[in-house]
Amino acid sequence: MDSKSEQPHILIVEDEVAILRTLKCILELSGFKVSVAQNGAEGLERAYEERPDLIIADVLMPMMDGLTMVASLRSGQELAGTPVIIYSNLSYEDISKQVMGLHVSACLPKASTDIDELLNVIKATLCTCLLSL
Amino acid sequence: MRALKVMTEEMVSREEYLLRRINALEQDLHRSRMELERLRAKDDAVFASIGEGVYVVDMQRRVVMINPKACELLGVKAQEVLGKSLYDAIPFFDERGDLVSRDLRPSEEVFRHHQPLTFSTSAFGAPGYFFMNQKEKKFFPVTFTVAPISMDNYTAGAVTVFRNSTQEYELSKTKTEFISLASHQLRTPLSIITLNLELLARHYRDQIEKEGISDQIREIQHAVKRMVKLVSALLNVSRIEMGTFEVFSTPSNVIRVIHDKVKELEPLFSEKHLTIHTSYGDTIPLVAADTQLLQIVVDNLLSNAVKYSHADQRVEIAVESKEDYVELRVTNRGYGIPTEARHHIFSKLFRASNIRSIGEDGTGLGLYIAKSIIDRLGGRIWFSSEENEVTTFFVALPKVQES
Repeated sequence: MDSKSEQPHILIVEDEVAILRTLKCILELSGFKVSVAQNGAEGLERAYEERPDLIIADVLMPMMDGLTMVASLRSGQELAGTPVIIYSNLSYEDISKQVMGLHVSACLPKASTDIDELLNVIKATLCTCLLSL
Repeated sequence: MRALKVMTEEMVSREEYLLRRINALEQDLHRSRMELERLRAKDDAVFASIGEGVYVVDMQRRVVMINPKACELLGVKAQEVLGKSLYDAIPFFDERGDLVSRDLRPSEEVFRHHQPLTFSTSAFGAPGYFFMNQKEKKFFPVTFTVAPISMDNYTAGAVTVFRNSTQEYELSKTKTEFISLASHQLRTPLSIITLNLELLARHYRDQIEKEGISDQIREIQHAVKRMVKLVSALLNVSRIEMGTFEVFSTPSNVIRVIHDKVKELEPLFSEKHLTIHTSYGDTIPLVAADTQLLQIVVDNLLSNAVKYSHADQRVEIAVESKEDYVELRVTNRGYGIPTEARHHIFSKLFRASNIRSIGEDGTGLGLYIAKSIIDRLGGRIWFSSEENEVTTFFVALPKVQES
């Protein structure tokens, strides 16, 4: 991270445009710098290009799904430590097996996560990362 | 001399008469035998022509009759099973493909209680019985009736009529998969509505208040929350039925789960002026359960306690350590469960008659889900209730085995 005073940078990887736009709006209103990608492959590209502080990723997406994207990040060198929050329609019970070993910070179900919870998890994840640096 | 002649003639005619009689009797007998054979052939033809599988066992559980349809369904020849023990000749399996033990076979139940028993394996995911076609080595779900055969007030054996219920089973599977797919698809638009509503409520609060539409926004939020709950309940049901409910049992702290839920449901309790009394035993050991699933169960019990309490009452939550399990009790005072509803209270989509009109939004799925989860965790759930009085739900969860 270049400077602490800069806004934290979040990359959202989500194929559903309406959700993408809404999340972007929420996060920008809450003071984050936001960039977006619409599938896992595009997400990887953006991530290596822009080096976000945090990635929020959906699971079911065309081209490359979110978990494959995270696995790819983890297997590389540069972004192996970038925190990832899974934000998807699948609940934890659906994907608990697949996320094992991917060092995912949180799995949030879309339908039952409200904005406060989302922002809290984001802040907590960013704090944990700052501490561990 | 003359007298002797008369006697001889008489004897001859008597002999002739007797011979005629015997002849007539023989003919009668023959006719009766023919008639009997004809009837027997008719019975055999009827038995052989029954379109469902039928077999009969005697009191020693030996197969004494089996019809061609049963042979066809089971992939066996009649002579291979006749005279053999039912349990060897016609094995029964559960939905996991495990052999059903002799004691648990429905026929044993029939021999114990002398009452017919009907069982339908048509609901996918529900416990059911399967036969195996021994020729094709393929399992198939069965629907059957076992009935005792009574002769002069004695039970002489049992007759089973069965059929292959694969079609109903597949239909039920398709239905469950449809529910799963539909509820998954419903989630995305719901998320979009939820997020944008919250965004409005949060960042445009002043405008909303100025326009006087706060109530409308709240109504929409409330309705969306209901919808989210319903969709997730439907998903849970489909997971239960498809057997994809993953259970990760770890040592779990029941009291923490309750504590968190009570905190979450606090607004609902205070809305109805309900007071909560908790009593936890001194040392409550950890239970072997999946915390996420436990949360669903506790959520259901506590939400029900709120919904079906009369206002200004108390809700009691108790946790107690018993021999090898931990018992959780949730007691409320309110509508209660009517007698006629008691057998159905854990059934899917069931809502008792006395609460359908009180304006509480129940899905009829909560207790069905709770029971399915508790069963899966190896625990028990039951209740005691008096209508318009006290209702208590009990849950027993196995303690963590100390190693």
